[in-house]
Amino acid sequence: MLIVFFRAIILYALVIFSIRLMGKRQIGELQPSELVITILLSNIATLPIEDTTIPMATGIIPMLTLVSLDVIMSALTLRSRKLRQMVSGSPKVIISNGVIDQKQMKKLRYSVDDLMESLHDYNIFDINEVQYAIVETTGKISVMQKNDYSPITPSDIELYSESKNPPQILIDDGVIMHGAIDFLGLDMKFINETLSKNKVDASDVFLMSCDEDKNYKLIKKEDLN
Amino acid sequence: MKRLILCVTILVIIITGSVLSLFLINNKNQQLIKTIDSITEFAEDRKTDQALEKIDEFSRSWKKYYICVSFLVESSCLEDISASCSKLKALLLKDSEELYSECETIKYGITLIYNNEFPYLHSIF
Repeated sequence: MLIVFFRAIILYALVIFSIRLMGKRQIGELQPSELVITILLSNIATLPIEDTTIPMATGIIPMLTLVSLDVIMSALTLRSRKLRQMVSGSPKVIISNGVIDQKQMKKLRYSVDDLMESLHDYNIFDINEVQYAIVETTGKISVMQKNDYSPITPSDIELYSESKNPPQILIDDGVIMHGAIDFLGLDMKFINETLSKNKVDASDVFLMSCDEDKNYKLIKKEDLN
Repeated sequence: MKRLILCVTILVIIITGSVLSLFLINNKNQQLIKTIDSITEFAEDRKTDQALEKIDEFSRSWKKYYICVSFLVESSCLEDISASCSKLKALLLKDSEELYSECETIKYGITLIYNNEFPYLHSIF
């Protein structure tokens, strides 16, 4: 039993390492090759956990090989557009100028239901509202609405304002986030001054966020006892 | 870029490790087969003491080898060889003909370890 326990711990760590190695994109939208790797990884990892007669190497080596090949393949596809198209395919336009390309939809084996379901994700319930729709290589449909139905943006009404980065969390549950302080171009002096102004120690702060203009929000820890 | 270098390094380590392990298995197998051959030779010549000495030598080498090779090979294959190995002494002292067949079983098992690891075309497909 202990063998299975230790193997499960090792392979758990290895699967996490492998997924991290594949990069953030892996967690969100899967390319065809990444989907294959993800399915294979989960299967390969379970074999040595269940069967103690199988050496761990039989699980570890194929996992690392597959992930490494995937990363190398991604690097190669970044350099070659042809290879990228071979491995991941290319995006296909299914609605252009408001007209559905039925031939393309048939080719992609996309039903009207699939299309409508994807449009609902964009809060579009009338197909007349769609100007352009494209099936991405991940299989996700991206939609552009006709101008008449698009929400008004500040630039439409010539309301111009400076774009700013969102506020950053500077203290998270008593821990000072030095990366965020550097990102905002602040220093510890500002933090210490703010803390002393609010008569609180960093360890007693539940959350402190701040933007580039030094507008901050500080929430003290509650006494839960 | 760091990720790519890490992956290439992992692949190089895996390939090098696999090739080295094949050499190691082949080398050790030759040694073990030689010891088994000398056991059968001594047994045939009725040199029981020397044969017993060789059996002890083989058992010691096998135990060490078992630990190394169990990282690479399914333990069920190794258990069969260990079982045959434990019978050798008793069979020699009983002066049984079965000793030779057990020695052949061990030799076959040891050869099988290498053959199962070597990437022959038929084993890949």
